[in-house]
Parts: sequence; structure tokens; C-alpha cells
Amino acid sequence: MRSPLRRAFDVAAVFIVALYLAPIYWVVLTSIKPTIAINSAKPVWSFEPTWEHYREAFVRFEFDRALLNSAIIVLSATFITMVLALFSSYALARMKIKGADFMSLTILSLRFMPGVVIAMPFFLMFQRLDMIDTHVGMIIIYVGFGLPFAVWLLRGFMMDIPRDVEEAARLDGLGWISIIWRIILPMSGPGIAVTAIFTFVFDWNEFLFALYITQATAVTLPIQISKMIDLYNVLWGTISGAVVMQLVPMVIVVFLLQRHMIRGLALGAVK
Amino acid sequence: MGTDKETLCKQSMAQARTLKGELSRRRMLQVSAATAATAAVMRDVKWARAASEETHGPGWYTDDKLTGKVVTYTFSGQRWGLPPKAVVPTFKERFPNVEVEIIEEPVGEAYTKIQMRAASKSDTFNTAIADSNQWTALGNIGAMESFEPVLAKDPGWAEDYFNDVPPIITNGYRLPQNATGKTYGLSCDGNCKLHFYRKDLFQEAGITKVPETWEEAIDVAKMLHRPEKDQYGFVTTARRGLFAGLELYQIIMSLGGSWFDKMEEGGWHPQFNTDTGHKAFEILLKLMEYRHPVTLNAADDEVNAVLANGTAVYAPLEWGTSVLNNPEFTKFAEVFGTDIVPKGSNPEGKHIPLMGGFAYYVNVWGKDKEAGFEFVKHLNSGDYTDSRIGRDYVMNTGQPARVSLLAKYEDIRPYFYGLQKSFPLGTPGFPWIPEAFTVADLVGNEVVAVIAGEKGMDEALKAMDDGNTQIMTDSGYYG
Amino acid sequence: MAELSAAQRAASVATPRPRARLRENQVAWLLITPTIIILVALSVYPLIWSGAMAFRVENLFNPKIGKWVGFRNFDFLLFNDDTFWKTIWLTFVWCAVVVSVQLVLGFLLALLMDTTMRAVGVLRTLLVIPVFISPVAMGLTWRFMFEPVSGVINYLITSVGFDRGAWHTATDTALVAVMIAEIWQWTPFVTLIMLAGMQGISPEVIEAARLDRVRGWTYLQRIVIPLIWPVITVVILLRVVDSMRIFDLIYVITRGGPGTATLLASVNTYSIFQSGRLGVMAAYGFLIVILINIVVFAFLRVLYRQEKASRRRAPARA
Repeated sequence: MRSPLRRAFDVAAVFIVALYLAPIYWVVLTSIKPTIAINSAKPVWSFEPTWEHYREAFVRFEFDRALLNSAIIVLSATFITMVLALFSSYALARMKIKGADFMSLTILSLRFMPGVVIAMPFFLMFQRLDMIDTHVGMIIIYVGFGLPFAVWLLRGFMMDIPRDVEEAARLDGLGWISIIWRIILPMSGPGIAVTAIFTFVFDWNEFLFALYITQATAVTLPIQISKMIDLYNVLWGTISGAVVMQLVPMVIVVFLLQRHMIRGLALGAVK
Repeated sequence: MGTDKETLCKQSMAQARTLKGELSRRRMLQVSAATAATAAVMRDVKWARAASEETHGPGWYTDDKLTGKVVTYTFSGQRWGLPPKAVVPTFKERFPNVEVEIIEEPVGEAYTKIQMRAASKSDTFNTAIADSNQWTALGNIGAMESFEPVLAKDPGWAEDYFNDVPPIITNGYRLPQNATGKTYGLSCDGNCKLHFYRKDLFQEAGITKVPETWEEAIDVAKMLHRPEKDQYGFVTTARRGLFAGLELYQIIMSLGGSWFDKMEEGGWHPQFNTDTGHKAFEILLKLMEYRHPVTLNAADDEVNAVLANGTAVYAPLEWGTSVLNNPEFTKFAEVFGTDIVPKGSNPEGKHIPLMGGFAYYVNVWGKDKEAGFEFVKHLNSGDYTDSRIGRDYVMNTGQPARVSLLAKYEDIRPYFYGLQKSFPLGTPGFPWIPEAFTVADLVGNEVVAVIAGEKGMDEALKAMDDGNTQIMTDSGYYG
Repeated sequence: MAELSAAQRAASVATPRPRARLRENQVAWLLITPTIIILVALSVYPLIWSGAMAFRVENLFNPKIGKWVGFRNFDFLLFNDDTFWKTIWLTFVWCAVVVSVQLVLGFLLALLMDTTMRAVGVLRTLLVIPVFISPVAMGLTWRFMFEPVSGVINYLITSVGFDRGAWHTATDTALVAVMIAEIWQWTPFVTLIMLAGMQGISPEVIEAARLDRVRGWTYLQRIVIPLIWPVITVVILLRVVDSMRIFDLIYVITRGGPGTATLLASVNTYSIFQSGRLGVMAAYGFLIVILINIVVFAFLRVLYRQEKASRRRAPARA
């Protein structure tokens, strides 16, 4: 049963989302505009569409390779971050470790350091380890940067899980691994979802470290896109094309996942 | 010249066609760029045969025993990314067993990255692009290999190069940076501050000659300033950072001023808070009265965008670029004229454009340095080695430092006229010291603060001198 | 959070089991060791390096001149640099405005999206698109759209009769312009998480509220907000931390300008780096960490106290 008010809201929702995405239409439009129409004194609405920008993104800027790099690095980093964060946040939340609070706060506070301050020592360190411009190097960096926040966030969620469930399981003779796997994991589903999404999005958009640590083989999307900023002209069309192409797989994945995601998030977010 | 141009375009197109057969992705980009660059002049020319041995010059030699891999870092951006890739086919003709990898990096962040790579003794590359303003900085850590032995082995080539590229450019890539220094890099990319104007609007407004002095430039800006019809009389790069600093410095230089009193021991005292500094700043502020709204936030890309779309029409102190002559980029490509930057009307005033441009050096810690040297030499060859090299370089949006190439291709790239006129009178874009970017950034931020109305001019000029003095003190310039 | 865990831990200590405790401790260390190793390995060298730099004069472009100068860099920033306090102030203003607008907008959007409409999946998918666009690309796009003379935004504004805005090119509007870009990009993220919270409210509670004729603002205030408060807390934290570290978006739109209008701490640190002054940059970094931590942790304390209070207020949950 849906009230008339709700119906009105639904119509409003469609309308507002459509409006919200206005910048995206502009990006799509720009991506098929000839450069000369982009460089016009007034926005041009009718023009002969061109695929030139998409071709340029692939041919000159090797978009496909950057997309693949980003996918490999970001997915692996997110996965590893989540596994490690799950273990350590559980330990911090549930077990007796002296100075646990202090430890997690220290870990967290380092995240406020402006990235550029540590970009150079990172570069020097990775150079010495021969990990500049490697996928492994990038994954390690992203895991290192994602971990403090992931641990801290997950720990908060885990402390909300009632302790008695776990105690009961332990009395039933379940080991640590089983408890984490069978009790903690399902019960902190929403926390894990939030943390994973956050980690993924952060890594996906990360710019500064990718800029300094990658050179040719492990270049990620944001870096590849920033190469389209010529000093003398910005390749608006090519950038727009790259954005559109980057969004297509994202939109498909989000669409397939969103039902699970929202439900997963919702499962225990509020107890 | 007409027939020459025809042949050139035909050749470039022919090469493009043949390449399409064996289309690798990297190749395709050269092809597309070549096609784009020549499209305009191709309209009324027909097809002809491709280049042959006739293009070889006296410097042509081949070596199939040379092996290894050239790994080059260059800036992304068409002026630096495309030309080196375009000359790879001719390079492979000469050195079939040398591999070439050209890596483009985001240009905005390239300086720090180049410096960090050098500081960490990276061996991941053997050649890289760098700025003359970074030359002493790289030289100080011993990152560069001397070109002297290579040049000594091929004296004909060296003579041709040094006769063709103006000394203001070649000296920048010596250590120390003067005529007596040793060469550590070859420059295939010359640039300077240019004076961009619109021929059509000049004609319309009855302006018969390109402004010679800043006062004339201000008058022109005022005459062309029609904000009500979205036509602004002036635009320049006043984005935070060194961009804006160089605008002020350009005017100071043309009034006969300088950055330091003397660039040698006993000197190094900054000269901003002086009469010349004040006068220069006033000129800049007067021009700013007619500025396009983006000016306060603009780097070269935004400046060129508003020039391209016709909302800004006059840029008397902008860096040279081929995009404004590209009919696919702007519909005003045909009417953009270039000339030398204005001078001061005072007795000491002179035309003295700030120089930009880049050179390639060979990395001390790199592998296959022999191949690296050959590639840099090849890249910098004009017709002396093979006329196709210069052609491919220019056709793919390159902006050569060789005067012969500038003259030869002036029909296709009209702004080469401005470059040719400016190079002989140029001066280094920044003082040639390792701290070039540090001091320029400081000056730029002060200039922007004044234009944005956050600070008074006197206060800013004083801050420039104080800040410069502090930096120079830290670096031990005062003993 | 600290209070909560203390309470829970007290509960567990009440039933001491020595053998299990020993094992527990070992397991805990086992679980946490990999994380600690990674964090220590990644942070020791950079921290020592930048810690040393903060007390030195160093120039990236002239490594020869390095020397120890004690607290000079800190002294310069705190007392002699006319931009330092402005950048800190801008950072906090930025954070406060951006996060609160995102919260309100995100909440409203979540309410709209919390529906059973058939196409809602598509709608939600479309709404989160902005989150996945690289801020570099989106920043450029905004710059392009904001362009005051020929940009599309002014074109649309003037076509409905308003005056042109100067957006990112004028000192008084630049901060607003970049805020719009940031808010646009991250509000969907807030919506997504709040929506999850709303979907978690059990149907019984909603039904009960309906029967009691609790609706409109009262419904939101008494039922929805208290029930999703934990989720809101998480969102606030995520956004506060991230908006403090904003860099690429502002960097491509204004590089901190015009003048110093959008010179947030992180942007300024970057431009100091680009000018090569490594010592000043490192000192700046440490000062920012300290200042931000003070404010953020004070803020966290308030937030958690409220959370506890709201838990007490909240109606029984299914």
C-alpha cells in the first residue's frame, strides 16, 4: 500500500536524481563533441557526434591498461585490507590487549598527515626496495593506508555485537577461527560492507601516491586521466570519454550489487 | 615554399597510410596525430609518393650492432608526448636493434618527480626531459652524463646543432650554464613568452601595428575590451604559484630590471622592491583591469581555452603554443598572430622575452646509455641527419629549438614567426640557480595576492625581497 | 567508543577463566600482528624522515644546503607566515560546511530513496555514480562548467534570468564553488549509508509508529533519527576525516587560489612541496596532524556521548 504522498515523493525522487546527475550528462555530451565545439564561446548543444575522444583515450592514453591496473590494485588492496582489518579489529575489540585504545587512536591519527609530506620518503623507500612502479608496491601502500581506518571503523561495529552470542559459541566448543567465520563475520555484515565500500572508493580515487609511486607499468586511472591535462590545453573531450568509460563497469557492478549491498548494510546496522 | 609544404604534407600522410597497415597501438597514435596536424593544410593538396633516400643528410648513419633499450621520460601533453614518438620510426631505421619506450608523465607534477628520481639514483630510465631551470639542481647531484664525448665523435653534427640552436638555449643545458660550460643535454624544444593577438580584430579596430611598448599594449587591451559582448581585452596566467611570478618578472626584465643585482659572489640581492619593480607591477595591474574573468585562476590551459573560444582576444605575454594555430582546436586558428613581447618605454627598456623549453639528458645511473645518447641525438636532428626527422617532429605538434626548422615550417605553424624573432633576444625564464622554483613560487604567490586584492603592492614587493633573501641566505649565497 | 568498550570489558572480566584468558591473549596478538607489522614497516621510515626534515632546512632542488635549524620552521609557520592560520581556518570551515550540508542533503535523499517503488534499484545505482569518478577528472569537469564567460552553468543561470556567477575565478566565490563540487561528489555516499540504516529499521517499529499516528517531522525526530544514529555517527566520521584531507579536487580547480581563497592545508602543503621547501613542508604536516587531531577527537567525544544518550532514548528495537 502506497500513500499518495509517497507516490509524490517517488516522482520527486526520480526528478531529483535526474537533476542531480546533470553534470554527468554534460560529461557524456562533451565526450562526443568535436574539440572545436567544446572550445566555443557559448555551450554548443547540436553538433556532429564524434568518437574521436574515445579512440584517443584508448590509443594514446592506453585507457584499457589503466583500467585493468586500477582494478587489480584496488580490488586486491581492498580484499587484503578487509581480511587484516577483520582480524585485528576483532582482536582490538574483544581481547585483552594492553593499550588497545591508545594503539587504535595512534594508528588513526596518522591518517590526517597530508599525503605529500610522506610521499617523498615513500618514494625513496620503495626505490630502495625496488618496488617503484609495481602492482605489489601499490597494493602494499593502499593496504597500509586503508588499514588504520578500516580497523578503527570495524572495531566500532564489532563492539556492538552482543558478547553472549560469542560466549555461547565458545561453550559449544567453537575455536577462534570458527567464531570469527561463523559468528563475527555474519553479524558485522553491515560494518564490513561500509568499511569495504569506503576502502574501495578511497583506493579507487587515490591520486597522490599513485602519482609518485607509479611510472609506466602500474599506472592507475586517476594518473592516466591527469595525463590528459596538457600544460597548454586540457583534453576535455578525452577526459570526458575516459570518465564515461570508467563509469560503465562501475554502474553495472553497483547495479548488480546494490540490492545485496543495501540489504547487507541494513542487516544489522541498527540493532 | 608552397611546393615544399605540399610535399611535406603528402609525405606525412603517406607515412600515415602505410603505417596503418601494421597498426600497433602506439603507432596508431602517431598516425592520428600526424593526420590531425596536417588535416588543415591537406585540404587542397593531392597525393604523392613517400620519402626516400633523398631525405638523408650528411649526418645520416646506421648501426645495427647497437642494442639495448631506450627508456625515456617525457611530459604528457602533445608538445612533448607526441614528437618523440613520431621520430621513433626513423630511429628504428637507423638502429633496428634498439628498443624505444617513451613514458609520458603528468606535466604539472613532473618537476618534483624528475628531481626525486634523480635524488634516489633511479636506474629505471636512461633518458629524460628536464628544464634548464632544473639543470643546476640535477647537475648538483651528478645525475647527468656529459654529451661532450658524443659530440666530439661527430663534430659535423655538433657544429650543425650549435649553429642552428641559439646560444641562449644551448647554454642553459651546459654546466655551468654559460658558453664555457660542458654540454649535458640537447634541446629539441624551444619556447618563450610570446605576444598573441588577433589579426582580424586589429584590422577591425584600425590597429595597424603590433604594440611595441607596454603602454601601447595597455591601449590595445583597452580598445579591444568589450565585456558586454563577451570580449575581454587581456588574459594571462595568474594562477597561484610560479605562473604569476613570471608575468611580473617578464615586465621587470623588459623595463631593464633584474631578479638579483648581480648573479655572482657579492651579489644575489633580490631587486623586486625597487622603482623598476613598482613600475612593472603597475603595468601588470593596469593590464589586469581588462582581464578575462578566468585570469585570476588561469594556467596556460585555461588561457588558451578562452583565447580559443574567442572570449579573450589579446595576450601580450603568454607562453608559445601550437594549439592556437590548430584549426581543430579553435576557429580563430588562421587569425592568431604572434610577435615579440612588448618592451618598456624607458631608455633601458628592451624586448627581452623569457625563455622556456626543455632538453633531454642521459641518466648517469641508467642502462644502455649508448642507445640513450643516440636517441637524444636523433631526436634533436634537423635536416642534417634526415629531413623526415624534423618534419615528423613538427608535424606532430613539436616546437623545435632549431631556427632552421622554425623557418622551414613557418607556413604551417605561423607562430614559429614569433619564436624566431624572440629567441635571439631571450633571457632565462628564471634565474639559473637550483632554487629557481622555490624563489619563483614565492614571487608568484605574492603577485597573485596583490591582484586578488589580499595585499598591497608595496607590502608584496617587500615580501618578495625578504622571502628571496631568506632562501638565498639558507642556501649560503651570502657566504 | 572508549566508554563502551570499557563497560563491555568489565562485563567479561566478571567471569574470569584463567586458561582461556591466556589463550585469548595469544590469539589476539596473533590476529593483530600482521597489521602492526605492515603499519610499522610503512610508517617508521616516513615518520623519521619527515620528523627530521621538520627541524631542518632542506630544498628538494638543492640537496647540498641541508642543515639543522631547530624549531625555526615551526616558528616561521606559527608566527611569521601570513597564510598558515588562514589555511587552518579554511580547512575547518570547509570541513564544517561540507560535512553538514552533505549530512542534511544525504539524509533527505535517503528518505526519498527509502521507497518500494519498482525502479528504485536503477535510481539508487544512478545516484551513486558521482562517488566513482576520479576527483581529478571531476574537478576538471567542474572547472570547465564553472567557466564564468562560456561555461555551461552560467549559461543555464543566465537563460533563466539570473546574473552570472564568477565561481572559482573570484576570491569571494571560489570556496563556495569548490564546496559545491565536493558536496555533489560525496553526498551520494552519505545517502547510501543512511539508506542502509533506514532499511534496517524493522517493519514492526514502522507499523507501530503508523498505528500511533506518529508521522512527519515527529516520526523522523522520534523514530528514524535515533534509530539510525549509529549509522550517522559513522558517516560523520568518514566524511570529516576525508574532507580534511581533500586535495586533488581543489588542486585541479583552483590550486588554492585565487589569491589564497581556497588554500586549504593539504593544498598548501602540496604547493610548498612543489616549491621544494621540504623542511617547511614537514613542519607544516606535523602541525596539521596535531591541530586536526585535537579538534577531531574533541568532536568524537561529543559524538559518542550523544550516541550513548540517543541509545537510551531510542524506542525498543525488534
